[in-house]
Amino acid sequence: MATAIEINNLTVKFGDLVALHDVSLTVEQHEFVVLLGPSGCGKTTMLSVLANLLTPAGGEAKLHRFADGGKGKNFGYVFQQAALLPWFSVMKNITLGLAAIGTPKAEAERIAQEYINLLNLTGFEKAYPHQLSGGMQQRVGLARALAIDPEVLLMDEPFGALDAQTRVLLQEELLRIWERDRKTVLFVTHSIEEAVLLADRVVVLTARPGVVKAIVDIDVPRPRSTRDVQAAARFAELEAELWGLVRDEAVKALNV
Amino acid sequence: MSLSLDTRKNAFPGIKVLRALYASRLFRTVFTIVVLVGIWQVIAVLKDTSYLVPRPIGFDFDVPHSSVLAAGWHSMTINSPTQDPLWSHALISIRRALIGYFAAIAVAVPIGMIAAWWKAIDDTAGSFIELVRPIPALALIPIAIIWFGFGEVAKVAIIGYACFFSIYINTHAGVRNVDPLFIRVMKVYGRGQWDILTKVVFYSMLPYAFTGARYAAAIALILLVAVELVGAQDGLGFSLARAQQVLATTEVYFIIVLFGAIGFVFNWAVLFAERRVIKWRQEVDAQV
Repeated sequence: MATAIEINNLTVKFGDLVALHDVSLTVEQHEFVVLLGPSGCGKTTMLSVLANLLTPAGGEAKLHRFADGGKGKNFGYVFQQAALLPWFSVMKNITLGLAAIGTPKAEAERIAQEYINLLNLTGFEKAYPHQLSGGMQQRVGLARALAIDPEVLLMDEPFGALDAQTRVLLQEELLRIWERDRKTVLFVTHSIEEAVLLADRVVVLTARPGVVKAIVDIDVPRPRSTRDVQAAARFAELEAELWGLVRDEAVKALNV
Repeated sequence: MSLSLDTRKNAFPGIKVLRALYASRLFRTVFTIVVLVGIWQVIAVLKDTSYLVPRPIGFDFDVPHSSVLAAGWHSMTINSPTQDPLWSHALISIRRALIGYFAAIAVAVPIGMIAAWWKAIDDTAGSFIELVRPIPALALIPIAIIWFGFGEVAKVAIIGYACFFSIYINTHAGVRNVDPLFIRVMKVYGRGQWDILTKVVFYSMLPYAFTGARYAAAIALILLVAVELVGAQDGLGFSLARAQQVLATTEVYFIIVLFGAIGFVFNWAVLFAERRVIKWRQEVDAQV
């Protein structure tokens, strides 16, 4: 298997504040890796560096390219809030990334329509974001990321702002879509349950400054669904193990 | 609770009609106008000092001094080789105001965006604008006349100049209030400066620019009156000054009311345009 994401000795500082310290991590192609840690531990920071939104103080974070020689972006990004442009329709929001990689308009709309259908948004092509529920907005955010057919999906707590039920439904939707072509995913969350449900591997980060504390393999067979996973005895063990790792860090983060 | 409701229902059968009227926004507006004009009419009839407070309503249309309504009818339908009807003055005035107003929008929006977006331009051109902004535009009328003479250019320039600032300031603030998240979105999806400006910054600042444009609509009328009172041979302001000189109080009142009506329509038109353009916003309903 080829390496999709390579992070070597990454250090990120905001002024005197060290957000990430000497973090190294390798993600293989087709792997679903979840970054788990307390709030403020630098999970989002790591994604920002990978997306070229931040320059690190030391080390490097690389996304490898495979299919094409590299026109445009090879990653899709799903934000914490759906982050849709409120003045554009669902269709225009989804084609946003396609235009940047040089896809002609008609072709972009055809592709966007495909993902609109895939994410059960059919009929809402012309709707403005404020007319959609939170769950639907985040599905548009996901469609926007998938539409550019990226090598890697960077997902920053994409379901964190949703209610519990919508969250479960979207997690299953993500699993369903992911099973189609098993894109490489780097997914940030602070939900242990979500981490176990989705991940091949869970990377636990410490409280600030973020350092890799442990990497846990999630040996639960795929395809998974929320109910199967929760019923499995292995699920409870993994949850307990992860909680043991995260607990101290969460307490530390609270007391900062 | 339910008992008292029932008694009210039975007490007065017309209450339903009154409630329906009260719920109608148009009725509330019309009702207010009728009451205010009524009070004015009563005061004017009681005091009977027509050269100070003329009657608003009266149907003796042959005598322009009998009421504001009659003066309006008379001045609008005037037909003499020496004097133009008031509506032609009104058109000239509206044209002046609109040219100055739209010129201000065309200049203030791009400059406001550029100044707010690029620090170097804000520090230079932006500072200059802040420096001259406190000068009342009215004080510049003499300079405008020296520069441009008594023609249209001076008038339009003064109106445009005064309108510029409220649009500029609001556009500037709008650009500064862009949600950084949207800029991140554009960067993540490979969009450059130009796309960020035209697809994010422009749309986020639009509601602010419209707020500025509504202020500017009022400012345009103020400056219109000022420039026409000072140095004009036509227009509503000129007609106003002339009516005052010949002590045609009813016509003075009519022109003032006309200015009010023009201002009202102007403001409404900007609001209408704003609703048409900004369709993506979720509006909060006012309390009934």
